Amino acid sequence: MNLPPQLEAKFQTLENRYPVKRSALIPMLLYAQDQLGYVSDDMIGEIARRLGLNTLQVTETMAYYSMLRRQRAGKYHVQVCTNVSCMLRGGNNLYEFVQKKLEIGHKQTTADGVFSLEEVECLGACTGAPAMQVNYDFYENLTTERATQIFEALEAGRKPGTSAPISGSVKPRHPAEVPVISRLFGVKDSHKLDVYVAHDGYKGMERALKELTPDQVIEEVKKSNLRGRGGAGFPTGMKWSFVPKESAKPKYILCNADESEPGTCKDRPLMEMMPHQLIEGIVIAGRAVGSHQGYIYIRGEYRYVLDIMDGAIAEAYKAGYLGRNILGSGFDFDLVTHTGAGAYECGEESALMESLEGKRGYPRIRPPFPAVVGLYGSPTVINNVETLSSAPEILRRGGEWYAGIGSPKNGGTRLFCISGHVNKPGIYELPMGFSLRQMIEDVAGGMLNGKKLKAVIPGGSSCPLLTADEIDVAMDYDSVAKAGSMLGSGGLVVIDEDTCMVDLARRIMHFYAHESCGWCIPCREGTGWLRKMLDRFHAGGARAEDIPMVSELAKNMLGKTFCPLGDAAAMPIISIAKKWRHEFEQHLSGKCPYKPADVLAAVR
Amino acid sequence: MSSILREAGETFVTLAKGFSVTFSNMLRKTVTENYPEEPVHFQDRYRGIHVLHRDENGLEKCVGCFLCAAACPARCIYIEAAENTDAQRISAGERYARVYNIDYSRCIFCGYCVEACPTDAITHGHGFELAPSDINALIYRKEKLLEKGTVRDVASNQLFL
Amino acid sequence: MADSKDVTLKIDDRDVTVPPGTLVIEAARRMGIEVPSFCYYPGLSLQAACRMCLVEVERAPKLQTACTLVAMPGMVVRTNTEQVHQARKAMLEFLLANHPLDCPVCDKGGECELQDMAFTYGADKSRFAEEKRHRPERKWSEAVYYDAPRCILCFRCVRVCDEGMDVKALGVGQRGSQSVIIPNGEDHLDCEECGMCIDICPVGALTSGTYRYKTRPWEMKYVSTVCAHCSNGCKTTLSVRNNEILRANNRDLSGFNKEFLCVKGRFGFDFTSHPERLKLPLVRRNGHLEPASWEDAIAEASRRLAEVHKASGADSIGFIGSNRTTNEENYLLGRIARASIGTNNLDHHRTADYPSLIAALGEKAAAATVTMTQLYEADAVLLIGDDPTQQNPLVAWQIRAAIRHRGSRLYVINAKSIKLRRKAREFVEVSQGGEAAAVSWLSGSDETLDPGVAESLSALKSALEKENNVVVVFGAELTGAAVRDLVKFGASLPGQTRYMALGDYANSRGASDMGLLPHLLPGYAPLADVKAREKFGKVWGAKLTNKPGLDARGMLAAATSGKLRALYVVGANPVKTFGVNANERLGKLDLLIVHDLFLTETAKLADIVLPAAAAYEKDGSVTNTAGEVQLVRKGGDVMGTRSDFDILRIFSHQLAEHGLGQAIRLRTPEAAFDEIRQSVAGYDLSMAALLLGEAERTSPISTAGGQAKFDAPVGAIFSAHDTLFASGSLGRYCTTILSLPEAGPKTTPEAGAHS
Repeated sequence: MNLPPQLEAKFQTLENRYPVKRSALIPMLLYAQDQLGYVSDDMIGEIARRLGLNTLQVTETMAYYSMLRRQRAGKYHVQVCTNVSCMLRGGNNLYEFVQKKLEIGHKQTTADGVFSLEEVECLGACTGAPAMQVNYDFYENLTTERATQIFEALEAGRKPGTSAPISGSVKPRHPAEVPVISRLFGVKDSHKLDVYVAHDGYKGMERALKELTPDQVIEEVKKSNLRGRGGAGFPTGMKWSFVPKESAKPKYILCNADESEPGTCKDRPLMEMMPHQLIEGIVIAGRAVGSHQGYIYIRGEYRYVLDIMDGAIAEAYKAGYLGRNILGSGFDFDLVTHTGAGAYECGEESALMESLEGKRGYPRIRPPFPAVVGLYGSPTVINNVETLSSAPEILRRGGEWYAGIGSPKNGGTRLFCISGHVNKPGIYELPMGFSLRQMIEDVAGGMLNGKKLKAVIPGGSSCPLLTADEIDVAMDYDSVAKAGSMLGSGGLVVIDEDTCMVDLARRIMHFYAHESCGWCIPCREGTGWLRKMLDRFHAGGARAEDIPMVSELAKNMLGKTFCPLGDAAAMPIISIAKKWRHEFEQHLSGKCPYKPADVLAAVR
Repeated sequence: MSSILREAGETFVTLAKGFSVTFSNMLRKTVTENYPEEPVHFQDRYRGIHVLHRDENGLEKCVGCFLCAAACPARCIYIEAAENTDAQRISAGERYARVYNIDYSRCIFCGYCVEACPTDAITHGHGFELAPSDINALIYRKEKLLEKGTVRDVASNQLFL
Repeated sequence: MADSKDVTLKIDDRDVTVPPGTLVIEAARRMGIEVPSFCYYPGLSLQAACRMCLVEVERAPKLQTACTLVAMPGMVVRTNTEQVHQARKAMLEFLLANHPLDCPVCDKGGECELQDMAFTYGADKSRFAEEKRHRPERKWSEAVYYDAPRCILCFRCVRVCDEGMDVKALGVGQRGSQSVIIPNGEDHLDCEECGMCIDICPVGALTSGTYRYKTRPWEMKYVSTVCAHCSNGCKTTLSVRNNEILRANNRDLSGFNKEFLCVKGRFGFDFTSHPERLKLPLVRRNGHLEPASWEDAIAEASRRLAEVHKASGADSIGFIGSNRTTNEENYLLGRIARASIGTNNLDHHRTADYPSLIAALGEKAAAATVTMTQLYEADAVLLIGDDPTQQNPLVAWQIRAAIRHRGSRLYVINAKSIKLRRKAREFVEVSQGGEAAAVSWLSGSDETLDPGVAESLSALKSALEKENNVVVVFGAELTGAAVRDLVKFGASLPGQTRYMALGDYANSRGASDMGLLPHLLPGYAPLADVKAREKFGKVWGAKLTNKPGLDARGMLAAATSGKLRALYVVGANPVKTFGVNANERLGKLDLLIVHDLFLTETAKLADIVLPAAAAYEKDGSVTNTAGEVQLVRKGGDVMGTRSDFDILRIFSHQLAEHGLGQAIRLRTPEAAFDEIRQSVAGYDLSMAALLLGEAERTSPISTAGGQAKFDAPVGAIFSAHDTLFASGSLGRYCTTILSLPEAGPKTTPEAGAHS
């Protein structure tokens, strides 16, 4: 098969990028799709041939990833997010508006082949909700007028202005903020090497490479009380120390940039505005565990972020911050990016490794843990973008300094993405242990339209919800856990009194049912069952026996699934069914008592 | 004297008692069936010769699952199943009973087959005139057991399962 | 005795000691505690997907999957608590949510693992009030149907196809609750059609095209016997209803093949009910084969054979036996030829040089050959010639399993790039027919080879020299001197090198062992051996001649030239096998008697055709290519046929009446096997073990002394190279197999291979 030269070049780079050829599969499919608008049968055969796979291996892998398609989409593929944060800010209205405007429905293409539409799960633009993506371009804070302008421009062949950097990241700093990892947000050309270096960039790495031994690096990180920012909050220094010192196989540093937790959009600005900070953090991690190869697994939708990251990596190689003998220290480190193709499950560390190996993103059995048997069966450190981005400053200014910012056992700052019904949704860097009440009432500018607070999702949609009475809590891992929820990924979603909690539960369950990988029974069947049941319940088919069954089914999933996704689906539902049981009872009349305001029209 | 009178009185009373039974029964509706001049009357629950039923489209309800044969303590039911095709559809399920025989020389009319049937395809009818002169005639074939009826033309996608 | 490294843990308050690395689920099963599971399947990779095996482990915060949990010393496991019961019930509720309630029509009903589990652990009613997910059923091939709604996605089929079969024809499509199993051809399967996926499926999602909707499991009787096709001797369980075989599988995991069966074992039973099956003896009258009674046919056959004997002598009569008939039948045929008639004109289609291997190994013959189980236990396998994937599927399965489970190494020398090459450490591609030369080179001869081949052979040699206890598996490419070279090379390798010769058919080895050879008596006793002749002469009541006999090709040539006057063929199709011009009526033969299931090319030329019972319709024993003897059992029955055993036995009585030999007094195959055990070297096997269904290895020892050579004439030993979809003449009547697209274009009866 003759490929366009650009694609041919891309394929050749990808084929030679990984120690196992199959790893190139998903990026190849996605790049081929970008070129052709879909993945044709011929292309499947061609990719299979190049990677030494059979076509079934290609098609079954492809079928797993929601961005990959075998039917042609429109020239402009419009993806409207209706997940929690967007839904609260009128995502559904936007989706309806676009449907009417384009006169097509979910996964349909206009007759002229110009537009196709898809209702998608969280795009990572929660602080700019409601949002949509056209091909790889983000459009945020949409109104009907803005959406109309965008479609008119696209139809006329003009490129409408996109929303980058992500809305809510560049704004006047709130006095309570402690800018550490976000310190260059808003600085012109902050993604460029010289700007980063001018702001103490690569100093931490230099210290780690030249002044400290690997053990001292780990010690410094342990001292900082840095805990994993992906959601589980595992102490990072400890994680690094689990990697065997001696290994016959190469060790890997894996950066988890598959940010897809609804309500969370912190990795995106970190990579688009401070990519060098992440590179520096990865090299520090490499130094700590004796690894010489890193991968950044970036979710497929963040293509422009991936391009920025690639640019930064190229710059870093050129300036000697990556590659052979970094800064004359004798330490070598190579780093490449890798694109996902639409799967929330691939944010789970072992599923991410499977995905990076070019397979369906099914999680792996543990033990063995990634620190011992990870990517390509080798010892692997896998950390979130934010975790790794915190490393440079820890190394530059010392672990004790970092630990001093946060609360006990919860070192430093973290990026809180506050979305939903607040006046100033945005990404705020606040010290660990900051008061949740103050975050909502002060930092985020209070409730939208002066409504009363009903509920808060404290750390992405996987966490149990807190009621308005429960918000006097310090936002660190231990305190939030004590309050019966989780700090999670730092995606706060604030929900006002007009929101129907059954509808919210329904929407959350739609997400998990869509994203369940299908590996284990309780998650695969449980999420699907609850989705159907909550749909029926909210649409007027509520039965009294359904109310206890909702939490019973969720509890049957809890703790019994293969990976944490089942728990993530169960926990918010259990908390909603318990704390807002009366709202379920109100639905027994057959009608939803809440009329969600048409936020899209109302806000402006 | 008094003894004679008493005797006469007692005799009368006894006669009256006896005849009261006679006369009261004379007026009661008769229970004897005039079989074979008139048809026999049965209780609904009577377990007679089996009937294989058809559904509302006229298709056979029996899907050839063999559960009746499995439940049968006398092992008198013999089935051979086959697959329905779009061209020739006999039952609404994927399969049907190509052969369905009940051997009435063995059947004990216990009704377990009816209990076992998942599709309500078999019930006990009220037929009872079984006696033949040839024992082989006691093996009833499906054609004989099956309810009369014609198959309506239905598209296969409208069917059960 | 417990090893010091063994692990003791407590399950349900009882201690159990298991080897290190044992999974808790296996430890529990060892104690008789059932931990339910769907996705866990011994021998396949771990999955932990079905979550049925959740158990309580002390000091673990939540329930653990017993199928992935490795037993640790002091571990305390509970499988019988309220929490565990609740979890099982919950999992089943989830599973049944979208599962259709079509058990009455589902082929799996009655033997379904989901049914059993729902019955044992499930709730009594369903709470699922939503619309069930539905997808139409798909026909993936004549053999395999997939019903997606019934599928519980345990991925056993995907794993067995990939890991076990190395075919990778099944995958998973979509994701989440939409997940389905997909075949490699988008809407159809393009594979080896082994049907492993069907039998490994715990529910009725994958069903067999041949068994489809025919009956129900409790309506059938189950007969455990040995597959009638290739020489590997897989156990297969026939499901029989009304004397008709409806399916074959090995779900009871009996035999050394455990769950394995290939397409022939699983679907190749329908020749028994083929419409062309002979059900009446045929006698040629006025040039036409006409039906006759058994009495008339056998009487005429024996009378005319006696006439030929009288007119032209014993050596004008030849016998060609079968490599599918049982040991007992072969033994009887040999006896009739050698004792009743008094000729050594006796042969069969030889497909592997067993005599040369046994002669070359001499005294060590038994210890230096491997069983199928020992093949799995081998650390290193050298495969020379043959294509086990196609010709000896169990051998290929065992090799793959050894590589997968035990990290064994495979080395291959072959003229073709066979499929097992993928699994090989070293592969040496020799020229067509160049295997013998390569072996000669390896044994140190000054053979001149292509420099490229020599280079890769020397790499292979040095790799083998680092191995210990190599098992050498070879096909019909190596005969006579090449086998001796191989044994010489094997002796130079470290440890004990052991061997397995690969033949073609179910009793190829047995035919050889029973002496269906012109130059060897049963048990590889040379004809020249007076003692052996006297021994068998005494048992058979005759004085045996040592006059050399003709081999099969020799007999056919003699028939054409007129030296041979009568030929007696049992279950063979020499016209096809040896490429005789079928129009010549086998030269000037006065009498051709054929036993067969069908009117083969040879039977068409016969004067008398006797309809024989198939391997699935009789009792007896067969010996697989590894020398393992197993009993075959009568499953089906076809009216009008008789087993070759009965025919030969009756025939001997009639011959005796005509003054030829003694009547055979062995009434049953059991009695004949008893005689075999006493008189055939290496067959003194445990009857108890055989009756229990086990395989017992023969231990033939060449008594001929160190330098004996049992070489066959050139061209006498050759493989038919049957594929997975061919099985000699028999394969032409396996309707299901022929209907598979992988079987290739439809063959006319003339185009098939041999019987």
